[in-house]
Amino acid sequence: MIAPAQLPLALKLRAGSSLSSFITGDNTLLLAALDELGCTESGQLYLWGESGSGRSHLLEGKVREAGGAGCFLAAQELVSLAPDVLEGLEQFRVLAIDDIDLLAGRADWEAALFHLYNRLREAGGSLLVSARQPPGESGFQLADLTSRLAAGPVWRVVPLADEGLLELVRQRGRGAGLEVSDDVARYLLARSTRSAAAIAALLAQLDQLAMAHQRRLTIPFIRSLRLS
Amino acid sequence: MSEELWHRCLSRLEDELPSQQFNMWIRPLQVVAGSDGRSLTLFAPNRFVVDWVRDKYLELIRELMGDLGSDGAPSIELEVGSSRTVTEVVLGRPQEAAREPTVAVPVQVSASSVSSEAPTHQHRSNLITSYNFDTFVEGKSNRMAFAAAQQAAENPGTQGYNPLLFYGGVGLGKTHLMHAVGNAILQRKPGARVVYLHSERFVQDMVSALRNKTIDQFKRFYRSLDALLIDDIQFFAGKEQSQEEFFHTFNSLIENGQQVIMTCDKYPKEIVGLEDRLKSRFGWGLSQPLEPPELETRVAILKKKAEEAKIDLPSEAAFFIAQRIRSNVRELEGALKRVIAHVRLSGAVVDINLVRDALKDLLASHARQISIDNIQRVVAEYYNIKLNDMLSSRRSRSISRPRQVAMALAKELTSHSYPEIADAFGGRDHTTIMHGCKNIGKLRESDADMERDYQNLLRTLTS
Repeated sequence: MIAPAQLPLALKLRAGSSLSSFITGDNTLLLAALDELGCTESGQLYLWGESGSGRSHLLEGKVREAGGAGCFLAAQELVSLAPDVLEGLEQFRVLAIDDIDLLAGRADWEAALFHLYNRLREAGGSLLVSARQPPGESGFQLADLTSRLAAGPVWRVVPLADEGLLELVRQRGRGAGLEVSDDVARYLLARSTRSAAAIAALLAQLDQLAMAHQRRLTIPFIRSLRLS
Repeated sequence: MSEELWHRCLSRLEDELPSQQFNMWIRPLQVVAGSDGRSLTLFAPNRFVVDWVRDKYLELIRELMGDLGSDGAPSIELEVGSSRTVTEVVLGRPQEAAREPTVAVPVQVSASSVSSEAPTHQHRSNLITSYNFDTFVEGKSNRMAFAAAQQAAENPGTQGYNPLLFYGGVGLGKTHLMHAVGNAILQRKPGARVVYLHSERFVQDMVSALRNKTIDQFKRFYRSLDALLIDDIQFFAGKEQSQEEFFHTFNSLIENGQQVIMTCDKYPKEIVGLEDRLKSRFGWGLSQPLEPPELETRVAILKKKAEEAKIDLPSEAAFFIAQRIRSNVRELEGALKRVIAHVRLSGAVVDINLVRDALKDLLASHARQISIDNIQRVVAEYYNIKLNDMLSSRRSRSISRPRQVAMALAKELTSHSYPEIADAFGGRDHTTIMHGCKNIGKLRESDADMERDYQNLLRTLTS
């Protein structure tokens, strides 16, 4: 095993969450639907899928594409705030709410989301939301809200298969300035949880270790690290 | 200059902050540079965001701008509003042109829009022109409501139809009918002052009017309308001051023969938190329920919507969708939109296989929600028997009849085979299930109570 080295300051691996950097896999139609969102008035899309399937990436990418007319909200951050934070958000052309189901079961938030939905439609804006489950299973108690979320196209984000995940390892590696050969990519994939988030976290860790040890990313080097 | 500096600052912030924080708090800020080139205003959508950004990020922003600027940081103000609204006010453009018609609500360019300006009033009816009588599919479940809506449209303000109230579950077409009346009134009398708004908007406008000391203007406006269409009145519950104001507006309109149309998710007398005097007045005119559409109406709705989208939906495919999506029209249309998206984006022809493929996740989700276990539980609760009796061998009619109802519902609502259902009912023989389903089928035709119970259960299980 290689001797412990001084770790550099934690550097974030920026995923560069643009729509063009999303690896399509079996989500071709979903991406086409996402591309169209916001082109007409009052569109809506509900994306669901397991953690790490790329939902946040898609939402952030769409908002980034909309520039100043887009707004991204992470329900994970909203949960500790008051629903007043949703006031006035109908001014955006594209409004994205990530992990919206984290707000399910909280009457004040559900009512606030319902009213925001109505205001946004009235203003001609488009809504993009993501959740772990489809609308009917997301646990919302306000039937008006559930039915509105189900009123537009609902798409499952299909997790990447092997080829897509390999491409993801290579892409994330390139983004971090790491040279990841095909062999190394396969080796990592066989040892990582098969999700984009887990792969990104593993690469971030390797990036730091490679820098600390001044080594290239090779299979013997990774093996020597005995990562858990 | 300051705007350009802000954009450079944005790039730095994007690098320095976690992406979620950047996207949530910084990206939505809109910048307007001062004419002096030395100041800029950052607009945030609401007070909460202003306070948050001021607390957490303003210092960092100032620091970065100081680093990036050639002669120090410009002065930075944070305000509630939108740079677009500022531009629009300056240019004198209407705030919104999303809806087609014409006369209407005092849209307050709210305090949130341009903080330094007094609120201005512009008008719009908020009517959605595509919600008209031609696009509404009439069926057994909504025939009476449809007829009442047409009557109100022909003779607005007539005593027997004023107020006109549509009530029922979500997604059954209450809002559509309400807009249809408004559009028809405007078609007959283009200058009529017709306004649609959600009850929550009424509340907000009232609060803004109180804050801006324009409550008299607010009252005059609403009381001068030819027709006020107000959606989801159940949201008035617990808001006493709004109820008070609405009560007076309502009285004034009705007394002067101006039409009031309302929707509610339940019969108003059942709303907890609504004053009795309002409940009583809401019942003065005509209250019409809307029920979930039956199969034929669901098919007709799908065909009509597909036609509007210029998609040829074969009857077989329409029946496939309609048989599986029963709860409400909104969800039915949502399913169709998904099919249409598949057709349009893939270029494929609509057939039953494409529909199956497009809806596979939705149907799987339904299947998860409507399990045999769930059906047994709901039926047992409905007939007030023990859940264990669903599986027992007791043969008294008070037990066996609900058990057979649950078997019939399991056959109708799930894709399980007779033997699978038999297993779930305590390991009976599959012919027992077949017999039970047949018996309930016959009883539904001959016994109105049984048909009503069955429909109630269907509604509970599929909504």
